[in-house]
Amino acid sequence: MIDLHEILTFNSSPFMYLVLALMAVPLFSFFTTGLFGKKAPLWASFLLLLNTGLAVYLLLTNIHAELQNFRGQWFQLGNISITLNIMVDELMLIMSVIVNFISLLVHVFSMEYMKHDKRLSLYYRYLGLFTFSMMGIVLFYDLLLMFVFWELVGLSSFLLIGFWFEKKSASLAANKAFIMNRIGDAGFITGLMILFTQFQSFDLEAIKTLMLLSEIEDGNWIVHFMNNGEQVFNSIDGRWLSAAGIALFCGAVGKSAQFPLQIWLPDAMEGPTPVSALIHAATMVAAGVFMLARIFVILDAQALEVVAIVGAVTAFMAAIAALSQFDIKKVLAYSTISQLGYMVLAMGIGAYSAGLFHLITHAFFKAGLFLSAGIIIHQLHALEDKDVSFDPQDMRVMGGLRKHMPKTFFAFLFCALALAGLPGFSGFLSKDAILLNLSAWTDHKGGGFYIPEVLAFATVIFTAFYTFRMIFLVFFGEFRLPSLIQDAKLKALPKDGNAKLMVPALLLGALSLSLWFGFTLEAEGSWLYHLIETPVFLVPVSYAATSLIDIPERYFEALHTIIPAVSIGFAFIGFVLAYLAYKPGAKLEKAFVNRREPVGPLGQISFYHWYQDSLYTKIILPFILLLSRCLAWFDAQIIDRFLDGLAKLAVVLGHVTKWFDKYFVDGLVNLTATTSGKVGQLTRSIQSGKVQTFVVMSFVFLLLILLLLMF
Amino acid sequence: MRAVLAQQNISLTNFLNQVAEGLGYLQPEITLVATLILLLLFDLIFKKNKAFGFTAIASIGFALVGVLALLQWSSETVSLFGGMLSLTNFSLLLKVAFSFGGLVTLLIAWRGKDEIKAEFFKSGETLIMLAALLLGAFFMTMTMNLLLVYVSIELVSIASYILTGLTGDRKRSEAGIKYLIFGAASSAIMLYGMSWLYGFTGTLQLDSDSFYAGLTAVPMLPLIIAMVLTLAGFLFKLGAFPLHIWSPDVYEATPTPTVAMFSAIPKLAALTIVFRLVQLTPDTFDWVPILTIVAIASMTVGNFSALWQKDAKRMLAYSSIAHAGFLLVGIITHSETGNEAMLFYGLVYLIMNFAAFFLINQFESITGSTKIDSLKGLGRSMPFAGVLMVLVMVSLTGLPPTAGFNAKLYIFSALWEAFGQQENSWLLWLFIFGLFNTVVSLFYYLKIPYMLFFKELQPNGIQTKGRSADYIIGTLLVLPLLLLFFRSDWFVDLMNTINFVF
Repeated sequence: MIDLHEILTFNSSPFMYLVLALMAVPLFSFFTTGLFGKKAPLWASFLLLLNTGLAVYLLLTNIHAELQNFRGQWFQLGNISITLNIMVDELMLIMSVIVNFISLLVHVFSMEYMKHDKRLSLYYRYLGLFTFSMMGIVLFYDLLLMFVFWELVGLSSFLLIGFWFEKKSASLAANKAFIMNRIGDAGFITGLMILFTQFQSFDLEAIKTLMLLSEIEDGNWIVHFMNNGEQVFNSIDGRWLSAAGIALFCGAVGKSAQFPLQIWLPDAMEGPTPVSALIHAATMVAAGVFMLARIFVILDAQALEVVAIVGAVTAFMAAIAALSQFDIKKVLAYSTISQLGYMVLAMGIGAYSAGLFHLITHAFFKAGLFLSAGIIIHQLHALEDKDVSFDPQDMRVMGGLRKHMPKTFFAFLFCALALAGLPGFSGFLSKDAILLNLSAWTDHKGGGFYIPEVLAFATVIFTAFYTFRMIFLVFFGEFRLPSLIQDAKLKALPKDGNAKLMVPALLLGALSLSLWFGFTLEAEGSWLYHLIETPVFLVPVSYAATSLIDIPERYFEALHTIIPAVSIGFAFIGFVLAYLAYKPGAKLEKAFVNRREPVGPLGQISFYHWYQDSLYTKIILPFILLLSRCLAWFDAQIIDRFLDGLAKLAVVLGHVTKWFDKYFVDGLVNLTATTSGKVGQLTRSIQSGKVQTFVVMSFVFLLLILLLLMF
Repeated sequence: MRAVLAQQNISLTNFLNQVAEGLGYLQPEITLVATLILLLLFDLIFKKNKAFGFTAIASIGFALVGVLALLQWSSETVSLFGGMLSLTNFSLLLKVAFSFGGLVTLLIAWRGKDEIKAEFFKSGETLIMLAALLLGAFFMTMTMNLLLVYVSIELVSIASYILTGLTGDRKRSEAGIKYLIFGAASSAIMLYGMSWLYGFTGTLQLDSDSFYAGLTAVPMLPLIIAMVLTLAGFLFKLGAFPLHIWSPDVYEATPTPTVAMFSAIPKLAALTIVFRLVQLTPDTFDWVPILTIVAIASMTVGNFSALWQKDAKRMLAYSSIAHAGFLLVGIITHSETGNEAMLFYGLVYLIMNFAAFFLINQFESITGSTKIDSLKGLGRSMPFAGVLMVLVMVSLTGLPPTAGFNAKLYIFSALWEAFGQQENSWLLWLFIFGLFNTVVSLFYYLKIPYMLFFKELQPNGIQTKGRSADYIIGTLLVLPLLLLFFRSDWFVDLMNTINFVF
C-alpha cells in the first residue's frame, strides 16, 4: 500500500529559484513600478522583457529534459500536510513563454495607448499583478495553490476591467465579471473539497497517483492508502467522481466564459483594449482551459461529456452573437467566447493536444486582432474633439480604413484569416485538429453525440462570416465618419500608429501564419502538436472515457482528407456570404449604417446574444431578489423578533432582579447596617461615662468569661 | 531576686558576672536610657529654643536604638540575667519596629499643629515619657519572668498615664485619671492572677521546669481562674475585650502623635507577652476557648462601636480594639504559620496605624479638628493626600491591593489550616466571626474616603494647600503597604528567619 508521504517527498534544487523568478519578477514589478512615476512603463516593460527572456531560456533548455518538480511544505495540520508543488513540464514552459510574451507586447503597446492616462503607473502595476498571478496558475501543480492564484487573476481582471471606474458601465462590468466568476469558483471549491475528502491532499501528483490506485466497487469509489503510518480507507458513492470533475469544470466555465456564465466577457470590453487583448483574449480566459488540461486525466467519461457539450453550445451561441454586433470589440469578444468553446469542446472529447494547440494559436491571433482593433480605436479617438463626438469602437463610423491604415490592415487581416481558419494560417491547423478528433469521437460514440459535431461545423461557417463581415465593414468601402458627422469637419484622416503600436500588432499578425508551427497543412505535422502529448486517463476503468489514442487508426484515415476539405469549404461559404452581404455597396452594408439595431427575430437573437442577459435580469435575478427578500424577511421577522424577544426577556429579568436586589439584597444589607448600628449603640452605651462603670463593666465581663469557661 | 538565685543555685559572683555579660546585650535599652537622661539634662540646662536640641537628641537616640537592635541580629536565643530576659530575633525585630515607631511619632509631632509641636518640643517631659514607654515596651518583648513582666508593663503604663494627662487641659486630665484608675485596677487583677500562678508553681520564671510541672499538676478550674486573671493585665495593654474600655476616651483626648504610639507599640509588646505565656503553658491547658472568646468579643465590640463614631481618633481607637482581636487569632492557631501570620499582621498593623495617624494629623493641622465631618470634600482639593488616606483605610479594612489584605489572608489561612488539623469548633466560630467582622469594618473605614471625595467642601476659609514634605512622608509611609502587597514574599522570607522559641 502506498503512503501519501512517499508521493509527497520534499525536493528542491538551485534550478527551482530560476523557475520561481518567473513569478518573482512580475511581483517585483507590481511593487516597484509605482515608484517610477512617468518612467513606470519603461521599468515595467524592462522587467517583463527580462522575464520573457527567462521564460524562453527555460523553454529552450528544458523542453526535452525530464520532468522536474519541486515540493516544499507550506504547513501541516495534524496528519494533513499542505504542500507547495511546482511542476516543470512542457505545458508549463510553453504557457509561461506565451503569457510573458503577450504580456510584454501589451506592455509595449500600452505605452502609447495609455500614455495620456492619469493613473498610468497604477495601470502598469495591475499588469504586473496580473502577470504574477497568471504565472502562479501556470507554475503550481497543486489545486489549492492554483485556486489561490485563480482568485488573484480574477482580482486583477476585476481591477483592469474597472480601470476607468468613473464610467458607470465600466464599474458595472467589473462587478459582473467578478460575480460570474464567483459562481464558477463555488464549483471549483466544491471540486477541491470532494477530491480532498477522498485523497487528503491538494497536490495534483498525489491526487493523480491515488486516483490511479482508486477503484470502483459496487458503485462505490474506493481508495486505500497510508497517511503518516495510518491506514486511510475512503469509500464514497461513485457519482462523486463525476461530480468532482464537473464541479472543477464549473471553475473553468466561469473563468473561460462558457455557457451559461459567458455573459461577463462581452461586458469586460469596457476595460482598456490592451487589457482585453492580454486578459480577456489570450491568457486569463485560457486559464480555464489550462486548468482542464491539468485535471484532464482525473475527469471521467460523464464529466467529459458535459465538458464537450458545454463547449460546443458555447462555441455555436457566441458565433451567432458575433454576427450582428456593431462594436468591433464586441465582435472580437464573442469570437473569443466561441473559440474558447472550441478549446473546451476539444478537452471534452479528449483531444487534449488539439485543444491546447488551439489555445496557443488563438492566444497569438486573438491578441493580434485586439491590438489591431486597439490601433483603430486609438487613432479614431485621436480625431475626436469638442465639435466631433462619436463612438470610436463602432464599426458604423469606420470603413475604408485599408487605404488610411495599410499596416494595421495587414496585421488585422492575417490574424482574422487565422480566426476564420483558412489554410496557411495557424488557426487552420489547430481548428482542423479539433474538428478531426471531434468527427472521430462522434463516429465512435454514435447516438445523440452528433450534435456537438453539427454545432462545431456550423460555427466554422459563422466564424468565417463574421470575420469577413468585420473586414469588409472596417477596411473596405468608403470612410463613413465624415458623412456621419455632417456639419463638423474632421481635422485629419486616420493613419497607422507609431512603432509602439504597430510592432506588437504586426508581430502577432506574423505569428498567425502556420509557417511557425510547421510547414504543413495538418496538425500532426506541427512540432508543437507533438510536444503536447495526450495523457492517459487515470480514473477507474469502468468510469473512464475512451481515449482518442485507443480509437483505431482507421477512423482517422478516412477523415484526414475529408475534414480539412469540409472545413475549408465551410469557411469559404462563410466568406462568400459575408462578401455578398457586406461588400461595399451591398444592400446590407448600406442599411447597416443607419440601423440602430438589427431587424428580424434572428437578428435580434444574435444582437442580444440569445437574450441570455435579459433572461438573467428578468427571470433569474427577480427570483434571487425574491429569495433574498424572503431571507431578509425571515431575518427581520423571525430571527430579529426572536432576538428582540430574548432581549426583552432579559430586560424583564433585569427588572425582576433589580426588584429582588432592592428589596431583598439591599434589605439584607440595610438590615445588617441597621443591626450593626443598633448593636454599636448598645456596646457604646455600656462603656461611656464614669470610670467606675468602666471598671465594673470590665470585671463583669471578665467574670462572665470565667463562668462561660467553667461550665 | 533571692528566690531566683536560690532556685537556680547560682552564686552571687556568678550572677554578677552574668549581669555584666548581659548588659552587653542591652545596648539598645542603655541607649534609650542615655537618651532619656540627655533629654532631661538638656531640658534642665537650656532655657530657650530647645526644640531643635530635643528633636536632634530624640531622633538620633531612637534611630541609634534601632540600628543597635539591628546589629544584634542573630537567629540564636540568648538568655540574659539568669534567664530573666530572653533575647531572640523575634524581640529584635519588634525593637526595630518600635524604634521606627518612635521616629515616626516624632515626625508626626514635628509636622503637627502648633499646640502639638509646643507640647513635644518646648519642654522635655513628653519626649522623656516616650523614651520611657519605649524602654518598657523593649523589656516586654524580652522578659521571661512574671515580675519583670509586671514591672515593664507598669513602666509602659505609667508613661502612658503621664502622656495622656500631661497638660492642664481638663479633658485630658480626666482621661488621664480614668486611664490611671482603670490601669491600676487591671494591674491589680493581673497581680492577683500572678500570685495564684506563683502559688501553684513556686516560681515566676515562665520557662522554668517547675513552672511547667506546677501548671500540669494543678486542677483545671483554679488554673483557668489564675490564667484569666493574669491575662486581664495583658489584655489591658493589648486593648482587648473586656479591658478595652479606656481606649476611646484616651485616644480622643491624647495628642495624635502619642495616640499613634499608644495604638501600636504597647499593643504589640503586650501581644508578645500573651504569646510567650501561651507558648510556655503546658498543652494540658486549653487556651483556645479563652482567647477565642476574647478575640471574637474584641473584634465585634470594636467594629460595631466604631460604626457610630464621629471622631476619627475615637473611631481608630475602636478599630485598634478590633485589630487586637485579629492579632490574637495568630496566637490561637498555635502553629508556625499562625506565629508568622501574627507577626506579619502586627508589623503591617504598626505601619498602617502610623500612616493613618500621620494623615489624620495632617488633616487635623489643616482643619484643626479630628472630626470625621471636618474631612468633607478635602479629598477633592487635596487629591494626593486623599488617595493616600483611601489606601490606608483600604489596608485597615483588609482589601487588596494593600498589605492589610495579605495580613488578613495569612492569618485566616493559618486559622483555617489549624481548624483543618484540630477540628476545634471554636476555631470555626472564630473564622466565621473574623470574616463577618471584616465586612462590618468596611462600613466605618470607608466613611473617611466617602467624606473626602463624595461630600462638598465646606466653605469656611480653610487653607487646603498641602505641604510637599507631608506628601513625601505620607507616601513613604503608604508605599510599604502597597509594596508588601505585591512583594509580600519579602516579609514572608523575613518571617521564616524568625525564631519563635524562647
